[in-house]
Amino acid sequence: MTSRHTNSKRIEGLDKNVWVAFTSVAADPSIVNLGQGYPDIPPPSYVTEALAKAASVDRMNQYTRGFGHPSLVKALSQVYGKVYGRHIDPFKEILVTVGGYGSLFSTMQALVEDGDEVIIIEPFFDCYVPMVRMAGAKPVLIPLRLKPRKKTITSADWYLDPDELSSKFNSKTKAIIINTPNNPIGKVFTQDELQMIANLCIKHDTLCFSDEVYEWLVYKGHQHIKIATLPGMWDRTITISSAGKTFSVTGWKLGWSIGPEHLVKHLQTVMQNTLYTCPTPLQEAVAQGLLLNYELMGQPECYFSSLAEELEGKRDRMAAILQEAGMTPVIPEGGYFMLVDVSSLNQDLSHMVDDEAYDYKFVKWMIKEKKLAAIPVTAFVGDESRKPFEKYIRLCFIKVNIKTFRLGWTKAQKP
Amino acid sequence: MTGHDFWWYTYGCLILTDNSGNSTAVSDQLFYTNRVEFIQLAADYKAVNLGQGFPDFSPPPFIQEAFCKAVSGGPSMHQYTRAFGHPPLVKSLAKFFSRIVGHEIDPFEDVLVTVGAYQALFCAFQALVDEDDEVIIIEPFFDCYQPMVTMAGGKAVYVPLRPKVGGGTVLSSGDWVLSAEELASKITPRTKAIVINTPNNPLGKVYKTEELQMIADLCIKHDMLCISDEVYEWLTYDGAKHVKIASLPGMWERTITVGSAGKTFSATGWKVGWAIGSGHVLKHMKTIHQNTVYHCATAAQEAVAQGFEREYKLFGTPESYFQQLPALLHLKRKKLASCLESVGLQPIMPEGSYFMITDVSSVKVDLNDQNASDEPYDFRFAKWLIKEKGLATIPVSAFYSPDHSKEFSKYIRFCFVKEDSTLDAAEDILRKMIWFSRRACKGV
Repeated sequence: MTSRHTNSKRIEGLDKNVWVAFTSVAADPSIVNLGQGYPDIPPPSYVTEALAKAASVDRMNQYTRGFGHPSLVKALSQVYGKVYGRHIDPFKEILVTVGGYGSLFSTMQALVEDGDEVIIIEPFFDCYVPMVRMAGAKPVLIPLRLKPRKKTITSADWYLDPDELSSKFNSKTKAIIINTPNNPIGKVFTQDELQMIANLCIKHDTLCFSDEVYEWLVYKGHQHIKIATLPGMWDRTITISSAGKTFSVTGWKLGWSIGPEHLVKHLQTVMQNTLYTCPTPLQEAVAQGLLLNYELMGQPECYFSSLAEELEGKRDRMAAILQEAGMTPVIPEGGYFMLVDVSSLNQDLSHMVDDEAYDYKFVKWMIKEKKLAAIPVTAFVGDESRKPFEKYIRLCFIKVNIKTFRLGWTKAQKP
Repeated sequence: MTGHDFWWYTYGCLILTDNSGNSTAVSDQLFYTNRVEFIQLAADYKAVNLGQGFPDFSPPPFIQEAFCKAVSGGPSMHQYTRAFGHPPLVKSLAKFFSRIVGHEIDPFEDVLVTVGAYQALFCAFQALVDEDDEVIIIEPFFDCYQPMVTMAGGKAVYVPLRPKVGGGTVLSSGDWVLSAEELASKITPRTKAIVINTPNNPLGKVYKTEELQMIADLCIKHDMLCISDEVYEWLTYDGAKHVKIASLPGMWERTITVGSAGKTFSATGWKVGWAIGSGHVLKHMKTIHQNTVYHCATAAQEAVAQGFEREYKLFGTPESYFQQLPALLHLKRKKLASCLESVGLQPIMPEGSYFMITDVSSVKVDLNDQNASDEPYDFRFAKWLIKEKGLATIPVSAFYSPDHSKEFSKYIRFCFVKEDSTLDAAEDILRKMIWFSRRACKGV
């Protein structure tokens, strides 16, 4: 009877995701939430002040330019022109979107079609696969592999096998998605690694979608490199960034795509036919934040570097606490997540009879018994890579008081 | 693309599939809606802008205060909220609209918050329209419906509103009607849904209960879905009543009602909208939403929630913004209509919405555009009006399918939701223009 009210084929099997499963659980205030990736530290005051100021201007409460508020795209052109070392046309080479998420969506819808293949590196931010599928294409997965075990593990110990990667490219390959710094591992791809990927893109004439939302959160001894700056890559790369991650305002949901006009124009067409324009006062405030920091670039007061410095301390404290508790953290080179190997705890979860991976069971157990929420890492990999990753959980450390985590854990009995 | 293609409204399909099912590369084609181009022209020529549909006055103080309060409301206001809608907002929407629809709306199952009504429409089409499904669109239509249907692989089928024949001059949007026979004849086994927009953009028509009942009967008979774009729901004039098709018997379970904070609170730049409907349909829209933008901005949702709490308490009283705004716009509507009439133009009085359309065929001017002679008249006129006279409007055939646009190419659309000073400036331009055209006709 209700046959016409069923879903369209494009979303078949895409209704479940890890956030839907876990964020409502973590909404319980008695649980320390280190799962979902957002700060509980306040954003810089000049950014929220700029928002209040923008909203007090009449015109800022009405529609702005669909592809991006003029003062914002101009500010982006300035900041990124400096970073890329090239002129970036604010109107033709930039699209403002609803978060990095919206940029990913616009990119897939604009450039990927039925029958294409898209290479995704595991572990991957979980939306890549459903977005590729929704565009009618086939995700082709390749895992990061762990180098032989040392005592302390860092995200740099995961690498892409060049031969394996090369074998994934074929005539149907439309694009490869890279994420650097990587969520969830925190890996910051090196120049050599990016060059290897670039060589394959050029050889096979594929596009590169580079998710760089954590671009400023890189820790000492590491450098964020934009693949779009490598020779031959500007013309085939869309780079995605996020105001939410840049200014610690995830709830503003603004992001941007930067790339060559011949690609960006298609993203703009998608924008025009999906949500048309992004909120005006938020864009104005981000523009102000960017301009302020543009003047400070290279100096310690610049938020692009000061936030990373603040987070490095939190990263190290979290790693120490986890080690004390008998777990093995993977020290990230960038981003605000940390993978933790929980296998050394030997927690027996055989009483949990679901067919779920170990990490899903562990997280559920941990939420219930330890009042601590994390995210299971197999949410970020395909079925075939479950085994190597199911001993890891992901914790977010952009939180005010890492001590609360320590308290949360030692309250209950250690296993 | 030729110059002609650039101005014509084209089927905005990103992925073109030919009869054999082969897809052609997106890089060969670029599609703009005409509305977007006219918006750009207005900016380029710094025209008095009665084109794009947004107020040039401020949102009401209470909503601006709510936004400021949200912005200074602590760190949680600047971080992710619930993906399908900020809890205070979905609760206040459910409470507010339950009373109107006459159905208990579940805030978490039956409501989805989106980036403007625009994104709600997008989610509806993507969630429910498949390859080869047909979707009936009533013309004139807000121009995004068609590319959205096409992007979902569906086929748009058009049914025009037509001015009633006989009974004197057509003076009101209420005189434009849908033929029940014509509508019924367009339904096939493939028809998935019908899109209605009441109050209508650009015509301003407010569908009466009988008209909605006719549509509802067909929806039920043919088991069709109904996507009801009601962004102008509070803006009705002369006693016209906005009726929600979802409130008619048998319609709740098959209707998606789309609303807009931007139009409700005169804050189009906030881009907060929603879809309300039965959970078993909404859940598919949530799947689209979670794979497209996932979250909407928190602070603006908090402010809109506060706005609806206030309006819930003041509903039906003179202090309600939902009374005050239409009263204010009623005066502006009258002002614009008088101005148009005084210069010999014939406006069609809208019963609702932000817009008024006018027949400009009586204006004799040399448009001086020989190279565009195969463009529809209203396009040429509207372009001339921006470039030569500095007055921005939107040609109404932009809101019609290519099949029917030639029949309706003598109207332009004005937005009257503007400061009186803007309306005065427009009046000035029109007076001079008509005087000039009369002189030109007299051969002076």
